[in-house]
Amino acid sequence: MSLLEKLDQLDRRIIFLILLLLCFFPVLMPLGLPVPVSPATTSAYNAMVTLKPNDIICMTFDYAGGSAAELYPQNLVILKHALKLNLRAVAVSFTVGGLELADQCLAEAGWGSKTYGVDYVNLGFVAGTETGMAAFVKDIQATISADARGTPLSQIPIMNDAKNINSFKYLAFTTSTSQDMYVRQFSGKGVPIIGCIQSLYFSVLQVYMGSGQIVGFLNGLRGSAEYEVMIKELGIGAISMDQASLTHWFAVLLLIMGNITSYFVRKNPRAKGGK
Amino acid sequence: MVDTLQTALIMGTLCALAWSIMYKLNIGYRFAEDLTVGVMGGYILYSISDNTVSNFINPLIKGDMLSLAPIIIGVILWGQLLKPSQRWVARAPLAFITGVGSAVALKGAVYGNILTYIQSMATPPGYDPYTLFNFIIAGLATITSVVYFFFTVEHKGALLPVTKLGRFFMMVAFGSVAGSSVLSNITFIFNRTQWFVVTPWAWVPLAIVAMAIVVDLVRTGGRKKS
Repeated sequence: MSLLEKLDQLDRRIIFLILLLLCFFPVLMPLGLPVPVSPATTSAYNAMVTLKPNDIICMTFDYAGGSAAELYPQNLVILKHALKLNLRAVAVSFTVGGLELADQCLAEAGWGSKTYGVDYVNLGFVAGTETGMAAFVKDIQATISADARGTPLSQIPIMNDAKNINSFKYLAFTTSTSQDMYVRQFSGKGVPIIGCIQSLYFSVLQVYMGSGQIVGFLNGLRGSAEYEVMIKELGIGAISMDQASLTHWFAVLLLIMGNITSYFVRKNPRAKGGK
Repeated sequence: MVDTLQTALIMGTLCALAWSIMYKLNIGYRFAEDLTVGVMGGYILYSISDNTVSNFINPLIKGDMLSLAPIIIGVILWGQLLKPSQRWVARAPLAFITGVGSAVALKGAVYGNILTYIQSMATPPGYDPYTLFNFIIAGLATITSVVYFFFTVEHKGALLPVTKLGRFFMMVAFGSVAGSSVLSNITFIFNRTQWFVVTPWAWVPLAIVAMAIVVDLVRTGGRKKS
């Protein structure tokens, strides 16, 4: 069997093994590849730095553990930046899985050094998805009776300043599914909207940013790496970019190799056992 | 996140078992998969129940009779599980929920998904050659793609190249999404590899699973089951 034929019939387990090794290598030996910053991330960053101390930002956690690998670092870096700028944060979730992630992210970002209820709050899960969002936009206290810990909102000081969407100076939605409903309900209310999305939806949010419905967005793990570069605090995102570079180049190499071997094997029927 | 030895070993084992699908389908992978689905289902059930109790049951107990309405609607919705001849009871609440949801979506859709796009396509974002060129391409793609879905007239004659161009632009767009999806899915493994490296003792279950794979490879000679 020629080399091309062997490559054409390459066992996929070998490909998986190489992929795993390429993922482990940069963690053990960081390459420090440069991370250029995209305009979308720059816009998201600029929208945050224009805020004044004690301004309230809102962040939605609408994803479950399965998508956390790509979305959690984005939330983490934005919350770290908000903490640095002495802002206040309101976390909310319109899907069931985000409730615990919000608590974890706030703690990991360092918000434990602030006072819960005064500087930040986790409002928990709001049922109804888009209907819930519409109600949240209009009147938060009419939509949610208590926060994630069961404390009535009337007893939470930060909520005295957070009545509806216009109380927020910055809103970042994080979702692993459709972004349309967030843009439908949150945009056009005078609040800068930032999208935290998986790379899969990059082209969709480009359109929203082009039309001015959102101010900026973080494009998956790369977006969080870019934001970390901007706030000069490298973390999970930056490490992941070395891994992303190696694995994506490997994927491109496989694409090229697959096309070449497929072309030559098809051209030579004897390679497939034909006459 | 502080990982104790127990957490590291349990999580490491489940992850290693899940990764074992890359070698071949096995009982360890099935166990990890079923456990994940079961725990996720249980957690969702807990969250929804907790939400229902705190937002509707507790206010009702405290005297807020308005909370009775969503509870009644929710209970009647379970009529979907009745016999086919009795399922009609669930139609009204379903219609109510669908109607409200559609109205809410439509309210935002007219401005958010239609008018804003028309406005942005009508106004170039800049007048330098690069931006103008992109704007023209975007406009061309939009018009030709919309024409592709115009089925009132048959796509022939002068309309044929327009629809073909629209189909080409849509293929490029879908290809871009598919490519992004592939690259996006690879990122899920990054977090786990980082976790395996930084968490003490997490590598132990991974090493055990790797050794089991090597033993199986030696035993079967690397042959895949057909």
